Amino acid sequence: MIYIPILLIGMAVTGYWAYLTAYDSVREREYQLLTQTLTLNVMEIINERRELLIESGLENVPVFRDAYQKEVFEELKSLQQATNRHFAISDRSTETLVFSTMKAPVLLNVEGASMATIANRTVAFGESNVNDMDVLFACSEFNPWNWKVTVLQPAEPLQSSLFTIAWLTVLVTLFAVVTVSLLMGRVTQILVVSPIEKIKSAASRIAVDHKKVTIDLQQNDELGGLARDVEAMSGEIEQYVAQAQQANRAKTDFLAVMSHEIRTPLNGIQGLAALLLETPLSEKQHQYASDLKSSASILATVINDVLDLSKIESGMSEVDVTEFDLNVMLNELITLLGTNASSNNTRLVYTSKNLESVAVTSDITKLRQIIINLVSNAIKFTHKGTVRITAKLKQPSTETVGANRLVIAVKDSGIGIEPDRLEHIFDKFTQSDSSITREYGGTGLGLAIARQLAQLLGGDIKVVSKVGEGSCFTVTANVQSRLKVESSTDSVLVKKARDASLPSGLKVLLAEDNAINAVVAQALLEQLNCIVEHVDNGLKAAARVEEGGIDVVFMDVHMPVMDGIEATKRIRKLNGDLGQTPVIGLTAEAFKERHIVFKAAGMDDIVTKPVTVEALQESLVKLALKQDVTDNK
Amino acid sequence: MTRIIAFTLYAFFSLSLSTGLVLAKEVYNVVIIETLPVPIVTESRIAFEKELARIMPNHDINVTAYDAEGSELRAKAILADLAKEPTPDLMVSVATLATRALNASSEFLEVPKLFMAVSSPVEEGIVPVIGASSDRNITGESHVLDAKVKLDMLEGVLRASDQNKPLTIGLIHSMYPSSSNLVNQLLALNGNYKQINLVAVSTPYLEGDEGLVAMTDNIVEKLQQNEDKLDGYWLSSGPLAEANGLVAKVKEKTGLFPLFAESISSVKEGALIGVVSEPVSIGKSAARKAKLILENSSAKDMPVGKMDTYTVAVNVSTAIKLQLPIPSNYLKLAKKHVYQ
Repeated sequence: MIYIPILLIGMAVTGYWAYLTAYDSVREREYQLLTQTLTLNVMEIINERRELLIESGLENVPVFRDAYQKEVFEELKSLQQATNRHFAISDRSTETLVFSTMKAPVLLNVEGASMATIANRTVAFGESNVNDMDVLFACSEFNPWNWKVTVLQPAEPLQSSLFTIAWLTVLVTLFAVVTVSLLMGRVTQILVVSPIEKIKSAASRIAVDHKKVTIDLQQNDELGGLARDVEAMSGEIEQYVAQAQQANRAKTDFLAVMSHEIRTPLNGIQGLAALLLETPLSEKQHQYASDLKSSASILATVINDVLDLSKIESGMSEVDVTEFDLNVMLNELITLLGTNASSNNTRLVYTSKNLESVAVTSDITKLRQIIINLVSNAIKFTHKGTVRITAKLKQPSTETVGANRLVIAVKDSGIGIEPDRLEHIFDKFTQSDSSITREYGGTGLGLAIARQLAQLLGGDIKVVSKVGEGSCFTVTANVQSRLKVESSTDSVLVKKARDASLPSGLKVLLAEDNAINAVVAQALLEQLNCIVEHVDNGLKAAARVEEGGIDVVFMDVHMPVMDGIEATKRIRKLNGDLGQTPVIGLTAEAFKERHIVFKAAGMDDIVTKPVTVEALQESLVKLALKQDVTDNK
Repeated sequence: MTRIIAFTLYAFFSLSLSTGLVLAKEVYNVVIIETLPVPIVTESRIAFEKELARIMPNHDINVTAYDAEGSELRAKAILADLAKEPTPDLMVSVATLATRALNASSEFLEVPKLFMAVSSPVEEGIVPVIGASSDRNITGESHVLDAKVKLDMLEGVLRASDQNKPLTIGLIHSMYPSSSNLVNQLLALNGNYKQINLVAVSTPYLEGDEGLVAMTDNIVEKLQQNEDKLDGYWLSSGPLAEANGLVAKVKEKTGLFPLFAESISSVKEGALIGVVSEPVSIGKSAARKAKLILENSSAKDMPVGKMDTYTVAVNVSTAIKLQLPIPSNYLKLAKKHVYQ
């Protein structure tokens, strides 16, 4: 592209040079015509008559010489009419004017005139000003009659033609510039822009597909080389992406395995601690068992945080939208977290706007996780203060489902955050002060996870804070909302599940290969008044169900001989009611997509390890109610 | 032997006869009738004969010339005599009176006829206009320049001088047909020229040499009578223009100079400017027409025209004396005919 201005400047200079050349040429031509008129016309007119007088022997006859000079004057008058040039003859000695075709006297300044010899005559020519008029002149002397003969021509026509030449030069140059620009543009389009667009298009495809591309460019210049480099680069990118995906899959698999492998013993620890606390213990033993349970709980939280962050960063965290009552969900959270707040002498206040009888569609799990995180933090850093939770929808809801914006603010009157640390509090493994970790605990992942979850929901988390006065975290998220009509089956189920109690003497088959987990699960189920029968693999479980007399099966997924998935499939293939025996999966796998696989194999519900009595009860109740609803139908 | 000799003689005779037939030239008989033996007539006739012989080298041209002695009657008598003799191939008349007689003759309608040195063929009734052809089997050329051109030339000369009034010019002439015709033309056009005031000065036409002398004396006398009124005179074509010593006599008796003449000799004698067809040109031009006629072109189909070659002559001594500078273009045209 740098060549275009250079070319245009070059053309302008060429145009100016052409103008100067034409200017000189026209001036030279005018002078040539003028001097030729003088020497070949005027001087010849004079000389011819003198020669005639000599030939006729009349040179010294005054009447003839005067008459012939008069003839010269008459011819010059005619010539003036024909050529529009003026002629003047003056006496060479006295400088007196003998004849002139101009009315005004001719006062010619010939200083600085150019000299030339034309037809053996010395001619002076140049430009001068006569009677306030710019003129071109040429003059010569005719010695026999002692004459100085001058030819004058107004400079105006010359200046006019030079002006015309200037305009023509400008127009031609402009035309040439426009034409060349168009041609250059076309050439540039073909040779530069089009290849660049092809390369750009290929780069876009690489960015989207991460595949090797082929660019249709055959030229061997720099752009052709660039295209080949991009092709080679795309091949390497494809290779690197494949490797990265493979590594990611490996990481995911590792996380899944680690999740399972860590949760399984943790399940045992938590379960046994809970069981231990149910037994008669001394005060000291009870304290140890209680600490053991708390430690296991913290460890489970840490593991969950790490797994959540890994899922989000690997892009595996998906938004699972369901319709729910946000107001109810938040009230339950307030109730849940109220205990912690009370222990911190902190008051928990919840207010809402536009949320009464409104069903919100969003990912309830992620939303709950965000709120719990923010409220837990607020409680943690507030002593003898208030944590105020406000929730609102920006638009009033209608009966029709419509897009809306959810805003939840968690404001505390806690210790606040230093301004220079505010911008870092959402960084991973960062707390406002390292001393906080020591004083308040935590992994430093909570806010990072919360913010990333909010961003997954199309929103964000902002914070304002003042040291000593408290902080306010504001969560936003894109949701859909509508005014609720209380008639759906799900709401009935939820309501009933909340209020229902389990029937006593439920015959439960527990399929679990890990002996400790089996002990814990069996103990928890027995707390729910269930009659528990234990097998250690899937094959035994399927066989036992086939024998009959089992109300519900708790099926571990990973077991020797036959895993839980295969065993469930077998049960589902049994004839009659046996094939409809409810199966609840027990798994340490936290990833949701795996839960979908398990349900696809025939499981009715999934309980994630470490199992709690509440989780088991909720699952059993949900199952029982579901069956009731089905029976009623 | 006798037979061989006889055969040889026969062959030689036959060869000689055939060679003679091949080498023999065709003969044309041309009759010329000239009006009177003045220089322009005689010189034109001589130039005609020479040019015709030159351009027709393969023919024998037998020319028989007759002198009408300045008399139309004499010319008619010659023609009557010729009518009794074998018809010639071409009849040529020189000058006006001989041409008038030849054109009027009904004896020679079938003979192609050619005239030369006739100033006014239209006025003579040969053709209605210049450029037309005659059904009387006659053609030729006028040797005289248009009256208008002559007046233009003189006006040009006078304009070059600082004349503040027109020059009164005596237009001398005889009543000879061509002369009086030309004078009438000049007088008719004179009103168009500011520098020229023509005044007719005439003498009756008198035949023969004695008549020419008498005409000369008559003119000199008339000029003497009008000497004070005239600035010069115009010597028109005709017999007077060929009169010997006219210019000198007028100069001697009146001091007047001829300002325009229609003969070179007059310019030599002192006429300011003259425009004429030279006799040689007249004769040569007529010879070229004669050749066409003899080579079977019809005179009936050949239009009567004007000469295309004229000679300008000037006399610079007269110009100096009269303080009438000759314009340079006339001086240039005169070339070899600039006299002092």
